[in-house]
Amino acid sequence: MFSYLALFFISGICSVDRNAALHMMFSRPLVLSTIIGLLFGNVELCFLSGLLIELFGNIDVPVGTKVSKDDTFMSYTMAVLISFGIVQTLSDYLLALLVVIIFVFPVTYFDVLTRKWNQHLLIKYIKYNFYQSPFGIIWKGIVIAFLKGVVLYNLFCFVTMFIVIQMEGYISIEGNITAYIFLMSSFLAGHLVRFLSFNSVYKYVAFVMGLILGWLVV
Amino acid sequence: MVSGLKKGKSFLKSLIFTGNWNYENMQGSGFRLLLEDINNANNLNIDEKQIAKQSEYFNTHPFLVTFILGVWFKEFLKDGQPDYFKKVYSSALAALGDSFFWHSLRPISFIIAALFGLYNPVLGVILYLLIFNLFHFSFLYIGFDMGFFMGKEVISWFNRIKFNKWSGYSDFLAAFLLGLLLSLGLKKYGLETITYYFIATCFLLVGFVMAKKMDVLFSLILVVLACFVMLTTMGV
Repeated sequence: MFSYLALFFISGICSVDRNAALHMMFSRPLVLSTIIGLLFGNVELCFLSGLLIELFGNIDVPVGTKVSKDDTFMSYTMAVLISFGIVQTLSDYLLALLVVIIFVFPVTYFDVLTRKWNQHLLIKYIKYNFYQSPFGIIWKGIVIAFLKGVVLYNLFCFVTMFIVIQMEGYISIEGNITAYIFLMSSFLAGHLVRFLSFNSVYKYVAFVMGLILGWLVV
Repeated sequence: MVSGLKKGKSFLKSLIFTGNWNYENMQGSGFRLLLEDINNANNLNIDEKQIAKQSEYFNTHPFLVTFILGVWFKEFLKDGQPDYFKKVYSSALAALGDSFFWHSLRPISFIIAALFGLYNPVLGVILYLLIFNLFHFSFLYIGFDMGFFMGKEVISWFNRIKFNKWSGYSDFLAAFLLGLLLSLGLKKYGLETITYYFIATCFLLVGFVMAKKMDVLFSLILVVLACFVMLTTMGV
């Protein structure tokens, strides 16, 4: 019972950290996945799964008014599925990842709705309490973000879990999950290197030097 | 000058000031909250209307807001142009902050954490939080004093520490460490076969090419589908 409460609390606090307050990076996929892995088991695979999703999240950044895709939700769901033993084979992992990517659209859209709700609170505040402190509406915004995490993350996590369990009956192929995670990571690393802003030639040279050093020296 | 204790309260509030983030005034409500806090803590008795006016549109990088707060108070107390410099610095620091904190610090914190995490995931997580928040908290904490001390010239402090170059240095290091991470990851998990290396290199090169052509999420969908096809056809 305590572990489920802890999981709900983690989902809420990560949503707050991502959207409304703190911004201390508890919500980053690598951090969140590893914490869930530590609490509920299979820390190594949770860590690698977080690594893959974080590579994606580092490219999709929240600049200006852009709402970036909710990689916190992606890593939360994947880590829960791994920790609770729902993902057992490679085909489970790939299927879960695909479903989570699809669900990230409605979850991210809820961020837009949250901002509209905050806007509604602001308009009401300007109308009725303009000369009072805005602490109340800020606090409400944080509570909404918390509830969003607890309700939405867990709801979609549960639906993903259901889909994966149903599909297991039709497709279940064993394989090396780590190998596939590194293949997808290599692909996203290509994206990330392009995304980094340093002078192109030197950037690629540095990347290749890193590859060679890792391979030959260390 | 505002004392350390009084600034400490606004520092903590600067961690929650984005709570009412919205499309109407963006972070305006939060800025007003911080401003009220400094005003009350120092008994400055700023006019109620002047404070309420600060709920207007305001948007900057959340980790650099305290600099703007300092500049605002400096300008206000010397009867300068607090609102004008608030506007100027909100966009300037938004661009500087996004470029460093989101584009550079986050990737490099992640890559360092992942490198150490390959051997000890807990150490990796601790390092991630330590590295990122060292910069996050330092800037939030010193921001008010620096903004108040330098006033409208606070940009010269950013120039002095060459802040706009930090992203470049960080990205260069991140590119190097990312290469190292991939190599070490393959070694750590015993994926050192020629075939695997060839396939991983193909994935990497396709990633390079697709980065300019397609949104990263759709790229990820395609690569997951490609992995599915590989798994079902090759069976490994």
